[in-house]
Amino acid sequence: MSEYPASAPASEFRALRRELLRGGVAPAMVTRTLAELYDHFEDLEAESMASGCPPAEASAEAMQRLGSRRVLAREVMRHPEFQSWAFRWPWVPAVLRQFVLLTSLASVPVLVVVSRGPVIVRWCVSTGLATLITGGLLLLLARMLIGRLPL
Amino acid sequence: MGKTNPPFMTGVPELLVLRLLSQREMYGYELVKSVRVVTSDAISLGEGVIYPVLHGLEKAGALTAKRKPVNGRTRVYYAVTPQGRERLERLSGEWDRVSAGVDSALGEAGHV
Repeated sequence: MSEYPASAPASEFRALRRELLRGGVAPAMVTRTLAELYDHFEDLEAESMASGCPPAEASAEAMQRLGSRRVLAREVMRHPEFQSWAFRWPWVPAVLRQFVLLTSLASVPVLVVVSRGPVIVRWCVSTGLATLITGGLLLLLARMLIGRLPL
Repeated sequence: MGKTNPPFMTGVPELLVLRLLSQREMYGYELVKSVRVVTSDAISLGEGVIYPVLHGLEKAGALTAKRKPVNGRTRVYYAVTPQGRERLERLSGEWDRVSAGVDSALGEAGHV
């Protein structure tokens, strides 16, 4: 949270951020709202200091004028259009997770074959050659045996 | 909306925001100050509450937001779109109707 103004009660902003995210507000909207609130806070603080308030008091006064965390969170969460799609349709991430899992399970063997192609080709060729040689030898042997045996 | 009655104030911040932004573009802090000035402090918005109103109107297409660097800081300036002007006209009409109705009721109640 390095974007907080140095004098801002950072814990209040962090708590508001957590509350909004827990309430299902889209992360991009949370970031934007907080960024504008920080700017507003800085303006309020500067206004108070310009009127002769000491920095600590100016900061507290600025926070008070900005509004309580509870009210701010309630006002943001009152807008359903600010909610993240994952909060609005919780079944979508579940379906997507299952889809990704199944796709990756099915694609693992294919990926392995593609990535180890030359090894697999060598293995197939050598197995084929070994089968051919063994088969040929067996055939030769059988022929020799059959040739000697009176049928 | 600290000093005002929130249920009674429904729609008022939106109307004020659209009215003020229809005159010129402003950023949040500037807008809150303007609300105070034009309403002679009769309507005091909880200052942070202005942002959900602005973002809601932007999502509805009534406002546009533009980042502008000012004195080494980046400010988000809001301006009314043609759709926002239509919305302002509609809300102003509704407000006039309601306000006339309440005035009439209060006038009659005074005479009873």
